[in-house]
Amino acid sequence: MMRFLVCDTGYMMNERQDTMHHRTVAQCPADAPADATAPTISYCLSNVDDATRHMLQTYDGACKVIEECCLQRCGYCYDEPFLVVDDQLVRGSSHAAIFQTLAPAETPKGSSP
Amino acid sequence: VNVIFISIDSLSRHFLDMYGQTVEFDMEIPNLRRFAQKAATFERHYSGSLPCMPARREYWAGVQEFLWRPWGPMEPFDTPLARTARRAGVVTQLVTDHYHLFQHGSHGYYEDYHGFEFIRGHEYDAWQTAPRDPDPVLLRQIIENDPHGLVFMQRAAYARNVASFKAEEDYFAPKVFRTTADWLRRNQEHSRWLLVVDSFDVHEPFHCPEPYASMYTTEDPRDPTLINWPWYGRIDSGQSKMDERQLAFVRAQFAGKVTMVDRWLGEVLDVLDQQQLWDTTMVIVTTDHGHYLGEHGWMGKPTAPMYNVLTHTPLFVWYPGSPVMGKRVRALTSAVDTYATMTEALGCAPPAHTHSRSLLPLLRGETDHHRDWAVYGYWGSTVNITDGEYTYLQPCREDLPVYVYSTMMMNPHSWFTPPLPQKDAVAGTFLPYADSPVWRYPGKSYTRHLEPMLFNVLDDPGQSRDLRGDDRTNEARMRDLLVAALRELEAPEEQFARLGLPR
Repeated sequence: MMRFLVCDTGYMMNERQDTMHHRTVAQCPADAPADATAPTISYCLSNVDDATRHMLQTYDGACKVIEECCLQRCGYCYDEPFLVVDDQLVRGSSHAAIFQTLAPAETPKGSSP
Repeated sequence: VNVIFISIDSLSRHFLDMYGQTVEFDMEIPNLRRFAQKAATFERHYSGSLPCMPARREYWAGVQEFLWRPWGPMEPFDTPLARTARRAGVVTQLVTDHYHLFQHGSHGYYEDYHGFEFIRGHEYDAWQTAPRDPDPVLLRQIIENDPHGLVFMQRAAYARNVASFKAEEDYFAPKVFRTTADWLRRNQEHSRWLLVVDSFDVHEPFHCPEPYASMYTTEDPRDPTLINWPWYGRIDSGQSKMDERQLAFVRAQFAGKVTMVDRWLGEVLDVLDQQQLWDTTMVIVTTDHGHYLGEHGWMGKPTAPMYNVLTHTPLFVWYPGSPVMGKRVRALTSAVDTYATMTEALGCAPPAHTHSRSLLPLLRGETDHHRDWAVYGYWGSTVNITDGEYTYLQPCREDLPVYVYSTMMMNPHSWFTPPLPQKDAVAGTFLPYADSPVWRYPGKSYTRHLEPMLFNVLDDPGQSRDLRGDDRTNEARMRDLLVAALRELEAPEEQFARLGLPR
């Protein structure tokens, strides 16, 4: 687990404080052991329609899914569906199709390739 | 008086020892320190609308926009500072490398000046297209994996833009502040003037020349495994994940850039000395927001709670003859207040229907109180408030609507790409601060935390202890203060609903 410098005023906090507030939309319960091998999948608010957003928000598989208001991939975001898997940008015809190539058994409910 | 307004982008307050520096570096900032000793140091100054362009509409139009719309242009019903000054017979000049002023979705910020200098090439500025294959080390350090890609906003643009840079003087802050100093030398035949300087540095990429790149680190700044343009997000997961060594390097490069900005700001202060301009010139130095560099586990300006790292900002004001020069001002102030301050200082009639309150009564020593609250946030997300002692961060519901109100059809979240038609838009006179009809169209609501957060920022400036549930008295008081502020601002009805607050 990463540790940070701790300054007098506490600016450099350890990371656990914020984990409970992190806008992670779908993941294991905070106290459950995380699957270290499962990827972190991030999506951009601008790149999903309401149905896809709901699909990703309610996903309950092993992957950790994070919503960001901007993933700084604006050019790709403007052009086509994409997800960021750990630190890799993955493009596709739909978010469900991308998800299915990553974790076929865990494609979120209600999604269609 | 004449006015110089200097915004140094992303200048995190806790890197400045004038505010009780809390970072691990012994920061070299002699010129900021020298100016702070001369000017008034505002201790409780807060951002309002974030990030970059929303802050500029606060500075230059006095509109605290984030309850009504996101990043976007000046509106036809705005009264830009430069236009007001022009009508009052003031010569106006803008010096900037802030390319967002010239991008999709944010017009209207430079057109009213008599002159503007745009220093090209920062961050994603669409400037150079050659060399096709720029410095491979820099490409790795700025995390560009598709350098030949042709989509909007590619990081390779930065590598191409700086490919010809040889010396420190070629970089952005040196050019911005040298141009500023030069303008001051050449324009003293004008009796009345306004000089606005919008420096995009210290903003990322945190790429700086020597000696700054090595000033706060023993690492090789050209090590291709070390990045200087990290992704936004958590530093323990996803694309923004980084280890301690990487984080230390990023912080050192940020610190180096702060020192580089300071070095070149000094040239401007020197000209003010040499030309004996202090007696006739107001000088404002501030920033739009801070930048997470590992604090609270975050990097950049991500979808994170709006801690003071981002929103509690530096403000220094020199005002000739003021009894508070060289002193600390403890009154609560907001970024939007700089607009009315400059308007009044220039002798212009203050435009009606803005959210700005002039700081001149504070600067004249007529009062030590300015405002009871300051609100801040991003459009479509959480809404936050401070009374100067406590900060209260209110989450929002994502299943209730939030609307954009504007004469323009803008992308609610993808600000930099070409605007898309808003097919659900309806028109009406919706704004309490304008009598013009505007479009209203929906955007997505997103929260940054799931429960309210409360901090006593005098006792706990690092906001390490969330008092929610432990200090119910102040929790209720700050919640009530937020309701009162939103009512006073005549915030849209849906804001109360999505924030779970009584209207």
